Order: sequence, then C-alpha cells, then structure tokens
Amino acid sequence: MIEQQILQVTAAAMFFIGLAGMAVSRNLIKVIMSFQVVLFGVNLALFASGLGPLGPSLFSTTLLVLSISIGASVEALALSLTIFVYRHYGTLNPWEIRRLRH
Amino acid sequence: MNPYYAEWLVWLLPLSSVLLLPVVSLLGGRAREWFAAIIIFISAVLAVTLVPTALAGGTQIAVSWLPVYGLQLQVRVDGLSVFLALVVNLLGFLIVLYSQGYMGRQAGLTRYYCLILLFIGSMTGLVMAGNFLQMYIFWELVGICSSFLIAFWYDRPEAVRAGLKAFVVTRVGDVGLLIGLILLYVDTGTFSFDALEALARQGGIASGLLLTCGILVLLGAIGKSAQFPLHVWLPDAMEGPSTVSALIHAATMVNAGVYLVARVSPIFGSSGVWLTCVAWVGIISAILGATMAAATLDVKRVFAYSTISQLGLMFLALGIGSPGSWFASQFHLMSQAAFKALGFLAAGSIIHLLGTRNMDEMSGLGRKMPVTFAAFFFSVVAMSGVPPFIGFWSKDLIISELQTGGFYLFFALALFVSVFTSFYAFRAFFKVFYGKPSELIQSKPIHESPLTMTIPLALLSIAVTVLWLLEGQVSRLLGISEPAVTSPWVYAASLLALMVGFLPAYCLFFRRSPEPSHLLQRHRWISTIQNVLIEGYGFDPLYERTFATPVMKLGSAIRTIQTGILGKNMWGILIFLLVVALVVLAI
Repeated sequence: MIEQQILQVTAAAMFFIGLAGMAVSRNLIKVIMSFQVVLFGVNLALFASGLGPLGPSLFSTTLLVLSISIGASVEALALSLTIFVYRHYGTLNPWEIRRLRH
Repeated sequence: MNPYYAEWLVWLLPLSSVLLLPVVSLLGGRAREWFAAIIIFISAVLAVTLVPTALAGGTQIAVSWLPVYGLQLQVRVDGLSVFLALVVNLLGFLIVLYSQGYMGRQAGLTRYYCLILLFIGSMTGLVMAGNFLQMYIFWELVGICSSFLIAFWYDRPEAVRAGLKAFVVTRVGDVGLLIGLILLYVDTGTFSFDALEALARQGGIASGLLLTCGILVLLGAIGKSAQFPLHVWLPDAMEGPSTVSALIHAATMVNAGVYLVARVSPIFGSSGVWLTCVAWVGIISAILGATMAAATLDVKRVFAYSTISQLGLMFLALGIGSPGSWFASQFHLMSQAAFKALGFLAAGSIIHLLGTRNMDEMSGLGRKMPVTFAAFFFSVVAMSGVPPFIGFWSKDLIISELQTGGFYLFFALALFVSVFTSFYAFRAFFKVFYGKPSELIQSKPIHESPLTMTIPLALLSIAVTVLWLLEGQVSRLLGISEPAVTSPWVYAASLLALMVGFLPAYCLFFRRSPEPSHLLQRHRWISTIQNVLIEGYGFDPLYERTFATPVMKLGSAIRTIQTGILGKNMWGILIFLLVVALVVLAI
C-alpha cells in the first residue's frame, strides 16, 4: 500500500502548507485560497483512507463528493463575505480587520 | 396504513410549513396568522384520524435512514403517541388562535409563528418517534424552540436571560439523556424502543447498566419537565409572552419529560430503585412547587410553580409502576394540559389589558371581563380539584393508586400537596378578582378581550368541565383496562384536603378577616417563611454561586486568548496542530 502512504503524506503536507498560508497571508483572497488547500488536503486524506485493494470504497467516495460540494459552497460564501468586508473596511488585510476584538 | 399518510404528515406538515411561513407572511399579517392556525388545525385532524389505528393496537412504520449504521426512521403509532399528539395539536391550535388577539401587531411575528410551528411540529415528532435517536433530535428541537420563544422580546434583558437559563439548565439534563442512550446503544446496538423493551424483558441488559442508563434518561426528563433539582428554569420562563407560557406548560415542552418516562418505563421499570427515584423526584417537586406557588405575587408564577407541582404528581404516579398509575399519570397530563392552558390564557387576557403581572396591581378586577373571569374560575376549580371538573378525577386517580398500592407516605404527601394546591389556586383567584380595586384598575378602561382570545377561553372552559367523561375512552386508547373503582374514602380525603386549603384562602383573601397584612405584621415567622418561598428556597443563588459564576470567570479568562485578529489566531491554530501532529507521530 505504498500509494496510500504517499497520498496520506501528501495530504498532511497540503494541510499544514495551507494552514501556514492562512497564517501568513495578508490578503483575504489568499487566505481563502489557502483554506481551499487545507480542504483539498483533507479530501485527499479521506480518499486515501478509503483506498482498498479494489480501488476506493463506495462509502469514502460518497463522503468525498459531499465534502467537495460543501467545500465549494463554503468558498462561495467566503468570497461573498470578502466582498462585504472590502466594502465595509476598504481593505482586505486580515491584520487590520479588528472589529472582532470589541 | 392511514389513507391520509397521517403518520408522517401529522409532524412533517408543521415542520415543513415553517419554511413556507415567511413566504406566506409576504401576503400580510392576517394571512400569516391564519396559515399557522390552519396548519395546526390540519395536524390536529390528522392526529384524530390516527385514533382507530391506535385503538386497533397500533403499528410502527420503518423506513431506511442511515443504512451504513443500521438506523431506521421509525414512526410509532400507538395509544401513548397518538394521545399526546392529540393533546399537543388540539391545544396548540387553540393557543395559535388566541395568539392572533394576544400578540396583536408587533415586530417579529413571522419569527414568532415560525417558532411556534416548529415547536408544535417537533413535539409531535418527538412523541411519534420509534427510537431514542430520532426522539433525541426532536427533543433538542423542542428545547431550542422554547428558549428562543422565552426570549422572544429580545430587547428585554430579563427575557434574554430567562431564555438562556432555560436553555442551559435543560442542557444539563439533556447531556445525561444523551450519555444514557449512547451507553444503551453501545451495549445493545439498537436505539429502538421495541427492541430495547424486548431485551430488557428477557434480561439481555445487565441490571447495573440498565439502572445507570435509566437514571441518566430520567435526568433528561427532569430537565425538560422542570423537576427538582432542575426546576429553576420554569419560573423564569414567564418572561416570554403568555401564549408561549401556555404552550410550554400545557402542550409541548414540559410534557416531553413525562412522556419520556412513560415511554421508557417498560424498559427501566423492572428496577425498583429506578421507580423509587422517579417517585421521590416527583413528590419533592410537587411539594416544592405547591409551597412556592402559595407565596408568589406574580400571577403567571403561580401557574408556573403549579406546573412543577402537577408534573411532580405525574412523576410520582409513574414511579408507582403499576399499569393503573401509569394511566393515572397520563390522564393527569391531559387534565393538567387543559386547565393550565386555560389558566395561562386567562391570565394572559388580563396581562394583555393591564400590562402587569403583579397580582396586587390586578386586585379588584371584579366581573368587568366576564369571559376571562369565568375562564380563570374554571381553571382554578379544575386545578384545585373541585368536582366534577377534570382535575378532581385525574388527581383522585393518582391518589387512589397510591392508596391501593399501599404507599401511605406518598398518599399523605400527595394530600398535603392537594391542600396547598387549592390554597394557592383560590388565593390567586380571590387576589385578582376581589378585594379593593387597585389604582391601575381604577385608572384604566376595562373591557373584554377580542373574540379570537375569548373563543379559545370558552372552548377550554368547556373542555375542563366535560373532559372527565372521556376517562374510559382515554384508557382504551392507552390500552389499559378500565381503572379500578376509587374507594369513597379517597374521595372524602381529597375533598377534605380541598376544603382545608380553600378555607384559609377564603378567609384571608375574600373576607379579608384576618387581614393578610396584619397577620404578617403580628407573626414574624409567617413573613420569614413567605420570604423563603418567594426566594424559591434559595436554589437560584446557590446555582449562581456554584455553577454560573465560576463558568463566567473561566470564560472571561479564556477570552484573553481570543485576539480578534485572524492572522494571530491562525498562527495559534497552526502551532497547536503541529504540536498535536508531533505528539501523535511520537506515539
């Protein structure tokens, strides 16, 4: 099952790269892109864990399709919120959007 | 199979019309109100069409839900579920009708009717559920609806606090219920009531586990039904509109706990310890509720404490564990639902007019509101158990079961509760309608409420007068053979208790000799007791000190970690996850 392990390692790498991207980005659009990398890492891990000798299992594929569609809708929502944030604050830098503090 | 698919529609119809209601409300306020009322009316009719199925022994419909986990969606049609569906939907219909007049024109009515429909639909779904998991989903829906409705006037801090309190306090019980049913599932691999009952009967569940799960499930019921020690949320829930109080107390929320105990008693009832717990929780709540109701000044709180007390009697009856007492508890549930809904709606009619809940400010209302006066009177006599109103028969059924079962301690305590019940009920009645007219009464034009409010009052008044005739039919519906004949001694004892409670209320608050305020001045100890009762035996400060304050402090301590800057928070998450990953790899 060497393929499975390669996939899992890649998935973990994608997850942490995405998280690091979310932490360092100074632009909300980039944060959302990094978030998608995290999500795809998770999807890949899901796919890898369902991989058997006969290919992916039906159950994991079902969950994968669900997860991808949820990810897409989350992205759409996040982008629309970003537009509102930009209109409201005039900036997309997450370090300057500090209203949550109060 | 029911020709109208009533098994499904009776709960799916209100639930799905929640989504439709905002669309209908675009047509205007009246359309919205009638839409909600008609939907609940159709549900009630559908529940009626289920009665023949239930009389024929009931059925259970199962469809595949999550086949991976072997879960099924089970709709259970038996006497108990149809009986409760009837109570919920018929009372729900009257309350929605009454809401039209009571809520009038104010902001947020779409939210109000959406939540009411969701509330009634979830409660019906709860009683029709055939397994624990499905029931638990509706259980939580009922909880969230009730707390939102209590906090309906969200610009009032007390209302928001009361809603939050109801949510948090019932959550304590719900966690118990959840743990209990997960434990049962892990051991038996099923959530279904039928399968668990069969297993318990064959002795397929270890008795220790059965008792633990039983107590945990009982904790859930205690939270929902506001029993000791989780009764503190119910009096505060009076901050919501009176219609919501009526719905919570009569039709939906609190009945869920009694229903749950009645439903699981075939599973856990083999354990004597469990039954004893149920009975003691019941009698303690009954005594606490009845005594607190005797001292409070808020007219809605009288009814709220009375609910705690009446539900306590139902728990007590369920704790006896015989088929007769099981029936008595359900019959008392119906009776309590009818007279409590009537009481809240009648009180609501007065509050709607006067804008106060304090009984001292209402005093001397007289007969200027004839329908409300009559409705309040009917509610009070039914509550205190004056024959031939329904409260008399249902309470005596419980008391006579206690006597025939040989539970003489409980018998005596239940009579003690009866004394207090008639005292606080008549006290509220005399205080509101008799005595010197208060300044508020003299300064305001008093008139009867509109027809949409008085018609439900009239219908409920008729109901509490004649419903006892249905005792035989209800027992057939619930599948219990005709209850044993009550001995005349029980009737005599309960009438005596009624008189013992009525006379002081009559002297103090009707004839006013001795004048209550003089009595308080002369005897210090009475006012001390009164203060303890008004404070609710100090449960609130106790819980505040031991639970609420530490949690709030912890919360504000943790709050400092929350920087509010997305970038910083992401760094925190990243470092945390890296540490977790390293730890996992190291192991």
